[in-house]
Amino acid sequence: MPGAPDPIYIDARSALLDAANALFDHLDVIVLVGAQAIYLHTGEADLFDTVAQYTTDADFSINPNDLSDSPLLADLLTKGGFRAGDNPGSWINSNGVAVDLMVPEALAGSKRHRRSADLLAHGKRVARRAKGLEAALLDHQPMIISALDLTDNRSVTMNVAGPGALLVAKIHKIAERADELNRLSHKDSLDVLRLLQATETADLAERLKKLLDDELSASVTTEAIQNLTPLFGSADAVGVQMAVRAAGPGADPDFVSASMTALVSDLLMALT
Amino acid sequence: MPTQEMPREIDIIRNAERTLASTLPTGWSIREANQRVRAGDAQLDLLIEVLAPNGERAELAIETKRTIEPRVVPRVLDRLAMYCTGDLSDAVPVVAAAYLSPRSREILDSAGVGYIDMAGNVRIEVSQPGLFISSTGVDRDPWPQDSDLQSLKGRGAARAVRAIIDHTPPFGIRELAATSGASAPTLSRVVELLDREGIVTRETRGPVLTVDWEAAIRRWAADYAQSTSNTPMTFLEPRGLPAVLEKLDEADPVYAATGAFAAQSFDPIAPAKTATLYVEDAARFADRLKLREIETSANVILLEPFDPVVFDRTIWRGGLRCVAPSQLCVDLLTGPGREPSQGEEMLRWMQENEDAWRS
Repeated sequence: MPGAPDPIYIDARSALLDAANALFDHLDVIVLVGAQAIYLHTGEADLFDTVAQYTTDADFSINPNDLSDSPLLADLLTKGGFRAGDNPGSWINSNGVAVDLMVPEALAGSKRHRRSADLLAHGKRVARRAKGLEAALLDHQPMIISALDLTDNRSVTMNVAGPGALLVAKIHKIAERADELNRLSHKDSLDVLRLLQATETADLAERLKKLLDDELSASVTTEAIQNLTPLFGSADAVGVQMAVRAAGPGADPDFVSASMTALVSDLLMALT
Repeated sequence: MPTQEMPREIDIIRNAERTLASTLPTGWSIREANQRVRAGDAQLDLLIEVLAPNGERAELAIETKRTIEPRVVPRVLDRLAMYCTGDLSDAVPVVAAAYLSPRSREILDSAGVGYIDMAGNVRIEVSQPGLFISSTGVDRDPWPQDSDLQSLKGRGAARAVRAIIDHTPPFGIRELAATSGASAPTLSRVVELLDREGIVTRETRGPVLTVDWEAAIRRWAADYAQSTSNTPMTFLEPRGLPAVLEKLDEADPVYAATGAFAAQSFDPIAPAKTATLYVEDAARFADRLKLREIETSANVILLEPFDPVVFDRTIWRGGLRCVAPSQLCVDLLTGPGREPSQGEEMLRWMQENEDAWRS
């Protein structure tokens, strides 16, 4: 994002800060994941100057094991100007920007509810369950996040998922939807490429190895690594094709696919 | 053809007449005027009348020469001007020769003088009656003189031409050889070639007095090509060109950037999509920077250079070590894609910043 940030990113960052401030009492058990976390890592090294087409939601992953019963998440969000959206876990601020509260599948309680997470005292509507976020509870680091609007001087320090966890989460999202093409966002694959480009292969492999060693994240990480080759292993793989489309007309499609397959093959090599 | 003997003056005259007769539009004709045209002791070689279908006529005052090296073109022009006075003040001056080099044709053209050679190059423009004949033949002398250097191909000649462009005259050959590391005999032969082409002037057996450096670069570009004079290998840096810059910074290897990658530090309008770097040993360099060899979709091109001279007089621009502007210019003019037009931009930059690259 060279130059002045796109207004869409300014709004998204502002909504993120609204939510972080509202949930301040629980911030130590929350990790920022998703596209906003990825942009914090890739920053200005981003090679793809794609125009934002829709608002980037702020995705929060909650660790329910360490979450205290009060104050209630829903009360804090309502007080902070959010209203509950149509889907479990979706909270909308006054500008219409969404913040999604999510709980890693392995910790989301009874599977009777397909989408919502059971957060006991906090209820079953406040957050939704998502597979692949387990890794974010282990691979994360505190970062200072500031507003992008120059007239907004807010900033907050919160946990941001590391590149290993973000990669695992993105791969799960793409793999889950690979057979429902209409729900796929091409941008998700470009985000994978951004992560692969912005992180040293050795660093990424080290993070994934740690995730493989922990009981909580071992199985989702194994599954993600197994999905690397079918999704991104060759120029005609679905994930590579998605990234090419998302990179837009300004990017050389051959470069996008060659880079992606090269970086994936480097990563797999580093993991053996 | 090279074994053929140099055409005689009479062959050149016959060729000029034949060429005119065969290229005139239908209804036009020519005839040799029997008038003798003199200027002092000299006599014009050929005066031809051109007749238009409507009865209008024009005269072509033709001076023949077996060879015309660009440096003697001004003298030929002076002589033609002497003939084209009085009765003949409306006559169109034309030079006929066995072979006219592109540079000679360019000079004649800009002086408004027509030409006909035996290698198929013709340009005649008559305003009254209106007539325009133009065709391009070959750009190589079919009758080269064995003793003369004919091209700037080859590492020695290229190294010498770099030295001649990069140094401000006047300079002697020995002196230039000592400061540039080019061999004195090669320098001397290259200076002779550029002298014949009207690109340098020198005192007889003395120092070089002037160098038209832009013409020298263009002349060099005619015999040079970025991708064939050097040996290229293609690679992929999957993290893109910012990662290439970072690695160059960290590893600090011996390299010199050229092409669009270097040009963007002079003219940032066109961001490069490929990094082209001169390196001594492409395979070792790629190993060190962890680039992967790839045939298509490469974004890094490593060139093993025609001569180590590409590493001489490099300049730092925005954290990148770039080849000397003269080298960059010839690489761009003969490079892929939009690079030739960036080469023209580079020539302009060199004109405006001569102090920055010439000494």
